Amino acid sequence: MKTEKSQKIIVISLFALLLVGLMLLGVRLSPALANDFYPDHSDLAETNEPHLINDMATQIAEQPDAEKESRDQEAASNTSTLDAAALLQSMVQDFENNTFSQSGWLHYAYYLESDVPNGVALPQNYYCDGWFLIDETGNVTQHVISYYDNAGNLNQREIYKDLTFINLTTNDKMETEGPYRLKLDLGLTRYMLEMQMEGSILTHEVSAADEKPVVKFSVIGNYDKPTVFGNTSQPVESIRMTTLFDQATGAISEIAYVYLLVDGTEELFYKVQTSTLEWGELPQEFVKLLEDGD
Amino acid sequence: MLSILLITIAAITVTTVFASLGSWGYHAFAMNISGTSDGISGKMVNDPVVGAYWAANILTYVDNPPISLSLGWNWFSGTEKCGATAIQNVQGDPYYAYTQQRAATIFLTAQPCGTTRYGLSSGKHIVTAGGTNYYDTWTQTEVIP
Repeated sequence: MKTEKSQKIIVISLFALLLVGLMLLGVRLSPALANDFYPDHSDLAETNEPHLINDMATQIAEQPDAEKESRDQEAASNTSTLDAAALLQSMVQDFENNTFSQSGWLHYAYYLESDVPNGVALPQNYYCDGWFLIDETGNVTQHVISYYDNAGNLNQREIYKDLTFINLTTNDKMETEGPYRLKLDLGLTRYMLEMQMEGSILTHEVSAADEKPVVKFSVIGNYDKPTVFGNTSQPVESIRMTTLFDQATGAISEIAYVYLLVDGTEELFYKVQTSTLEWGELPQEFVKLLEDGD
Repeated sequence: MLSILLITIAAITVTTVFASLGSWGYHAFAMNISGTSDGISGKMVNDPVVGAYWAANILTYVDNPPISLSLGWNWFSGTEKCGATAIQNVQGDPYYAYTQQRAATIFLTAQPCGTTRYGLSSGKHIVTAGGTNYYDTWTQTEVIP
């Protein structure tokens, strides 16, 4: 009798445990249930988020001429900025496709300069010298990246192997789900195209940089309110992003990001100039680093 | 015995809720303070659809039931990593006042990064009840596309 009672208690307890387990699993998986525990607080954080002004719409609205002429101008304006967007997208795509059409070690290096403090151990201006092992699918499976200051002193070095980024200087590690795709535009053109889609005006022209012909793309984004971004000295009213392609090779030679501040002055957030982009043999010291480093 | 087990499971499960880009991650770090209320900390990394910036957010509040207490954070920062290398760090202002909830945001313009970009929201939360300070220090990390 006593044993039967104990068994009943155990069965009921196990059932209760299962019920609670399912309930808690439901809380994790179902946002509606989770909200009962943790109500949505997104409204608290996003109320001051800056938004871009649709300059294309403003420009069209301010056309003073007759309706027909206005419509023509609207069409011309849209076509112009859409053409620039299509061209930018296609030039980035071609550049990356051409670069990743072979596999092996790609040596890619650039110099970054900035007027804005970055708040980290990396110098404000630095050389980034990277070796990337590109596989036949165009993805990076290993890398060695070294950061140097203006005097040529090594500041930090990072390797990537076994799907893990490892900073050999700080011992910081970040795991990835799979090999990654190297962004030769360092992520900038996606932002430029997004801004154009939202109504910022994207332009392109052929000009010269260091006496070489370049295709220059530029977009200016105006925010609806001055906003402090990172360590800027003043609130930012507008931003200007630029990408330069070497007209002869189709390679990106320079990208830049400039803040236009409330007092009318400009502040360079960054300018990046590519110094090396070529296939080669990984230096022996780096081969050893990849074998030993973990 | 069983009830202790159940409470333990419930506490572990409710204490940490997994988050993703654009949604809050929460910790319940001060349980049953000033009666039955809980001090809860939240962090979020979000990436607006348009614009080359992302945001680190922090939140401290009291719930179950919601009451006002002295709360906030001792420090708060947004950090950007390119792979495993920190390329930018921005400090937010500390906050500590008598209220039921408080949130703050830091906007960071994305630095150039050819590998994988990570956004981190870090900070040390504080809630004070009955003369005792309860702290919670943690970091929310997300991949910024």
